[in-house]
Amino acid sequence: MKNKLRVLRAERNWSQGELSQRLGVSRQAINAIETEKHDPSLDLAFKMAELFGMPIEQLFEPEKK
Amino acid sequence: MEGTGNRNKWWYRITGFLIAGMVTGAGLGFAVGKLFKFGHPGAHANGADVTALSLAAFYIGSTVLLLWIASDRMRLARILEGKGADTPASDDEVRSFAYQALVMALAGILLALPIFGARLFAANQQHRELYFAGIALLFAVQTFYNVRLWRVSDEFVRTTMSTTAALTFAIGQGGLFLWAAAEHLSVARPVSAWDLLVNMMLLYIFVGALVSVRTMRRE
Repeated sequence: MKNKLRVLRAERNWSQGELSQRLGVSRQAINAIETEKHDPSLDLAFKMAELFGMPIEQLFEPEKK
Repeated sequence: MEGTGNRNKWWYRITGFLIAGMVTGAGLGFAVGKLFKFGHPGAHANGADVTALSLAAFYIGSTVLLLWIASDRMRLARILEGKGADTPASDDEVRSFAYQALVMALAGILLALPIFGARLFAANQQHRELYFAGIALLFAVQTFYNVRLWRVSDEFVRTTMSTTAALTFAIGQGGLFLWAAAEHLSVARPVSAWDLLVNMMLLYIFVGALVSVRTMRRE
């Protein structure tokens, strides 16, 4: 699923390690989400939305089939 | 960047990994086969035993590598995040790596133990039974740490583990069915549980590598 995670992280000058610690997940998870290899769970998606202060729909864009 | 485009393609990396694995495995298998015959020049090392010992050597070698990586938090961070890592690995990340190393080491030891036990205690049934009880106990310890590894893993690592297990089951089940049907029709030779286990572990490593490579970092 397309997402703006990398852009939002770069805007705040956070490394993947720093973001992973803020969200309580591994760096591999952050990397996999940014490279669209893994879609976060609902729980993690809500945590991300809260962290970046925006609705989930602005963070993630479902792929059109 | 031109000239490096292929390096980012997943097929390029999988091919490279498989070639490296085959060369390493062939070398390991040859060395293990020689070791197996040491002191027993007439001994016949069957394919499953040599494969199992090669897998054991691979697991234990991987353990050493994992422990070396985890011994330096910045080194571990760079492995997990890439060259741009500026935050040392957290306690959870180190713990996860340590559990992976322990589980892998125990897996390697467990694969080797039945082979050596069968040779050491060939003439003594009671000793073999006690030895088996020891193996079962060690397996229980490994299972405990496998569960611990699952519990300390986040959703992504759990998804990777689940996907690997599901794919291994699906492919293994298909292969097992075909062989079982062929054996039942007497068009294939009977195989032992040990043969099946070793092939399953080989499949698991291959599938695990495939799943990991597909989710590896791409720059």
